[in-house]
Amino acid sequence: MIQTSQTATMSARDVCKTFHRSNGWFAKPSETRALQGVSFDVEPKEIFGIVGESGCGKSTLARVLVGLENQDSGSLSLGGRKLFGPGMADVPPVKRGIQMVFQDPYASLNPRMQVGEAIAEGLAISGMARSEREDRVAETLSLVGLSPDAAQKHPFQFSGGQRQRICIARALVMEPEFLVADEAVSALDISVQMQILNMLLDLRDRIGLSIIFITHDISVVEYLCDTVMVMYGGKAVERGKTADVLDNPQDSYTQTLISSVPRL
Amino acid sequence: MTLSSDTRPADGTIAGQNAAPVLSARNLSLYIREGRNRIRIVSDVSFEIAAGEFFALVGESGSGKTMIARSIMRLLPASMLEIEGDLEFCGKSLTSLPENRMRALRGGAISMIFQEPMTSLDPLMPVGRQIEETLELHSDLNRRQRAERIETLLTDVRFAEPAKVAAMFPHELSGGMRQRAMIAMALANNPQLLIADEPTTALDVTIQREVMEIIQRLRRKYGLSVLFISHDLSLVHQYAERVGVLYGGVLMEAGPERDVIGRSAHPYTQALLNCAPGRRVAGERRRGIGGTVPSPRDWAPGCRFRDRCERADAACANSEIPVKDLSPEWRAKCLRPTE
Ligand SMILES: Nc1ncnc2c1ncn2[C@@H]1O[C@H](COP(=O)(O)OP(=O)(O)OP(=O)(O)O)[C@@H](O)[C@H]1O
Ligand SMILES: Nc1ncnc2c1ncn2[C@@H]1O[C@H](COP(=O)(O)OP(=O)(O)OP(=O)(O)O)[C@@H](O)[C@H]1O
Ligand code: SF4
Ligand SMILES: [Mg+2]
Ligand SMILES: [Mg+2]
Repeated sequence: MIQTSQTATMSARDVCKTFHRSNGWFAKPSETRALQGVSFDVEPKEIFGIVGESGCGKSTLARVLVGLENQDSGSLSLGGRKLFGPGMADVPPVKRGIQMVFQDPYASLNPRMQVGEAIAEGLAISGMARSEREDRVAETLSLVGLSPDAAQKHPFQFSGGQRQRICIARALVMEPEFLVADEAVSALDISVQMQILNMLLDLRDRIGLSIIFITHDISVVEYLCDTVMVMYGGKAVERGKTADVLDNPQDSYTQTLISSVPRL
Repeated sequence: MTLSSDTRPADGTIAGQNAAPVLSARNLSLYIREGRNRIRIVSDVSFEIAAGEFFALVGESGSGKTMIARSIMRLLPASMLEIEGDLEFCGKSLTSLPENRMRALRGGAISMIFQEPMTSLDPLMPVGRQIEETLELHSDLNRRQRAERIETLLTDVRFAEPAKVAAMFPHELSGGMRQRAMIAMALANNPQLLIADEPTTALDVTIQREVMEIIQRLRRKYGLSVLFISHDLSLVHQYAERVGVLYGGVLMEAGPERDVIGRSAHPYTQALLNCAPGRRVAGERRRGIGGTVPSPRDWAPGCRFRDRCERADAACANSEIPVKDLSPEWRAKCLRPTE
């Protein structure tokens, strides 16, 4: 049975990341300070939302957490285990226990690979035997609401929502302690989006998964997240229980953001 | 031409009961040609937009929203898209209009803005020059008048320094600024109808609100009718006066916003509203809708929503589904709408 440790708190401290970009031969290179000292804690089994306007650094933060991007400074630990920090080599992505799901379920699946192979890729790399892999794939598929025979099919045979389930299965099969979802439902039809949101709630309840959920959609945060962090210009400007932040925003950007959301 | 815009009062208070609608679609069906096949992607859709009215078409992806917009603008060649039924603009048939007359309307009395402004802005031309080109095409303003008009337009969409923006290239603008520049361009020739296809979907909510407020203000100022296309029910709730709900190319429910969104009668509209996320009280879940949106290649006879509908029974699969009038201006295509 797929399990997570259910005890690991994630702590990020003062994470910084600056991008340097050359602007052709003669112009001065410009820099983008994408993360300017971001700190937060996520408790076990918590669903932690990150919102903020386009370009505020959400995806950069996600990529730094999973190890797809190197931070400039700061530290990150998971359940007391240090993943990066001053004076140490960064723990490589496969050993972090953090998996990521991206926005576009079409682009993130190899069209030539059977779904079962795609899901088991990480397990194969880690040296697990074939029969054990197949069992684990079947189990994970049912966890995300797909039938086991999906393993023999190719991505084009699935709808957008089903593909996103496959991507989530591929992440979960590694038994991560944390799932980082970057705009994971933004490209889906709203009738399908709700299915995925409910599935994430189920996964938290059933296997104790902790989730960092990045979105630009406040109403999704309201539905899904226990806690929310609002980012603006590479900084965390506000953080708290979702209902508290939404009902009583303290920061001026958060106030503008929340008052701009159209409501049913 | 009777379509000139100077016959309209400036205050926008012309939505009279008897005035011809600015746009009317009657039994509109659209077919895509794929080789020797013809695939129906929109079936028998009828709606009207009155002068000065904000009408929203909502639907999930593939429901046919963009195709309806493009058929009005005739942005697709007849070799690709076949139009059945009728589209009328201010009482005149658009479907039988020759292409040269259509060209005069496009960007003139009818104009359109898109989700991704970069697709319709020329990256190699300053914003002001692009607006000037459509003015040259559709008006007989002289050079000085055109410059004044460009300044007014850019001011109308809330640019504090219109002259500076006019000289800028699209890539120098942010997403929201580009969308505003595109609205300025769309409004250059005083259109009577603005078609907006998901104009704010790519924007942050704070900028979305800015853009929506601009559209609202210009609508009041110039008596503009708006066909607004969106998948966002809360946005539609906030701004639309009347709403049409599309599913699988079929108009499932249409009427005043307060009816369609406020107390919807059609099972699909109700289910869709139940998919809108929001606060959960005491841990309760929204049910959403099981299954997925069907593709036009899989459409069977009967109601297109029946695989996912909780009220469906055998009759929904067999019969032609009737359109029921729930009030003189509110209707639903369903065998069992909520009365
Ligand atoms: N590889 C890169 N090289 C240079 N700049 C980058 C790179 N990746 C991101 N940036 C810049 O860093 C900033 C933060 O980008 P990021 O993608 O993290 O934003 P985001 O909050 O995810 O935005 P969105 O909501 O649009 O996805 C932006 O200004 C972006 O242009
Ligand atoms: N060029 C094309 N060839 C074949 N089918 C097409 C073509 N363009 C669109 N379609 C089909 O027509 C149907 C309606 O598409 P349309 O783009 O109008 O949907 P939409 O409601 O605008 O969706 P979205 O919300 O994704 O923009 C879809 O099922 C689509 O697959
Ligand atoms: S016609 Fe039948 S299947 Fe279609 S929406 Fe109405 S009750 Fe549901
Ligand atoms: Mg991002
Ligand atoms: Mg569309």
